[in-house]
Amino acid sequence: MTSLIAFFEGLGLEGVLALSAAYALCIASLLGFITVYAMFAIWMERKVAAHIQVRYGPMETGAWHGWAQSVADAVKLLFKEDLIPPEGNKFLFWIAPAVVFCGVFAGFIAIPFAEGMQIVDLHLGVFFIMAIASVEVIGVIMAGWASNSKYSLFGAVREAAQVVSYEIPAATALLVPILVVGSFRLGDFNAFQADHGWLVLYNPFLTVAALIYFISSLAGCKRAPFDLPEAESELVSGFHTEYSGMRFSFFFLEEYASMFVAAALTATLFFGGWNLFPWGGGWEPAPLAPVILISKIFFFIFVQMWLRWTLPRLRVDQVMAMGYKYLVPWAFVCLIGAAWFEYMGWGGLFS
Amino acid sequence: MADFMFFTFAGIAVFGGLMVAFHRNVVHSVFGLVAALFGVGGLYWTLGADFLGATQILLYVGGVTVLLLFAVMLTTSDASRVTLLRTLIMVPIVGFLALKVLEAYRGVSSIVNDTGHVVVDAPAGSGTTPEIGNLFVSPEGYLLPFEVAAVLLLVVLVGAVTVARQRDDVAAEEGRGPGGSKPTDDGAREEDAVHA
Repeated sequence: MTSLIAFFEGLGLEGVLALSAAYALCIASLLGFITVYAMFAIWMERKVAAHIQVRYGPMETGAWHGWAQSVADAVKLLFKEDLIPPEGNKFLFWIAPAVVFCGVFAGFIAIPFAEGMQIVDLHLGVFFIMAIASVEVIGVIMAGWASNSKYSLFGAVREAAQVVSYEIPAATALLVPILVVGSFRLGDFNAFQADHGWLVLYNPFLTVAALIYFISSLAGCKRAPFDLPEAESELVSGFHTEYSGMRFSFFFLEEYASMFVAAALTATLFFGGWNLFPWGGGWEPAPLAPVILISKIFFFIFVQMWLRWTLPRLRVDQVMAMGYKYLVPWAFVCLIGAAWFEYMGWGGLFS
Repeated sequence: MADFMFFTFAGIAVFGGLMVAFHRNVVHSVFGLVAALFGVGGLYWTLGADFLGATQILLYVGGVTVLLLFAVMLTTSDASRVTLLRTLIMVPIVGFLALKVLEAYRGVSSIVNDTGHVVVDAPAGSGTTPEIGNLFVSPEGYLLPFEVAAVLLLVVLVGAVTVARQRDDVAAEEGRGPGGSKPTDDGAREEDAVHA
């Protein structure tokens, strides 16, 4: 970011102008990245689903394995009529997809893809991503309420109950690596794991915490088996039932973007970040770092898809039982156990 | 730049606050409250209190207002209408009274300026988080208030579960499950009660 500002100042722009230009470039490139990534992920999801169900999935559009299917879908969504329910609330209906998307989008600015390759190097990295992602719930409730439809409202209420509940185990599980590393900054996790090996192998509590975080992040992204807010067999399509066209596609973008953020946090906090091998790293050349990290992120996105197409959806009460009876207590056990290991000076399989 | 950020977040906060006070529909007021709290979180951030700002967003924007929204949405819209005139009259009166109470207590400026507690400037380069953490667990800092708050919250949690369970037992005796969920098995009802 600072180097970008310096670059624009070098072009002869004044202080605030250079800053705005740098931010505009960052936001535009990030938007482009998320859009292209989401298109690819949707295509990947359809292919993964198809192969799990022993079919081919999209094969026609764009000749090679239907690679252009998502592009065609995006063009279709762009030209689709944008319907607003006449009985609903126009302003909130209009602004809800933006609120939902902004929450996840803002999380992207703190993700480091390589040393220095991030938009803002926040001291609060992990905490900021968790905090800003919680804004998304407000947008979903807005969408559900403004649609003036029972299905939408049911979906929104389920989403709120589920996401707010699963924030507790997710945040507690994230506290375990934070406790070991002693920092919120995402870059520090990469540096720590270069010396000590992947945190998931650092001590047994971190392994369990990684699992708890991954399960909770599935619920946070509304992915199956926790896709109750969408539950197409009962609620049409949940909180975005009334949406169409471009606004509908924003909810899709948000879902895939939040999968990316969750996978990025899992990869960076537990699975070594841009360190290739479980026993540490630091030798990887800088241009290789984003490749390693993004491969890991896509592996976790693949696992999310894999789970979606192999597990049945949980019932509402099972979702709540899972969160409060199993994940929250185990997350607390992990936190206390990891603190005990740190106090005794144990741990570190490879350090 | 700092001015620009300050006026942006202050504008969001003031706009949200006005919406809370003057909007006729209570659900809109809650969304206004979201904007106001978000603006205040941003103001903390511009003042250099990054941890406080993020906590504000995590707890108030993403947590407390969701519960408020539930409460407001479950009330009927007719009962939730507030007349504009009454708000216009009540806001200055309540504000004036609050100001008088504060002045009588200590004087507003002294409350803002000297809290009588440890105040630490954030060193550049590491944010405020390490200092806040150290103050929370050091006896010279806020260890006792921190512990008391933790115990209080635990008591509140246990109390909430107990109250919800008791109501659930009554509902079960009357032969119907708690509202809004299918009475499938005992575990389901218990978890609904915990969540209610």
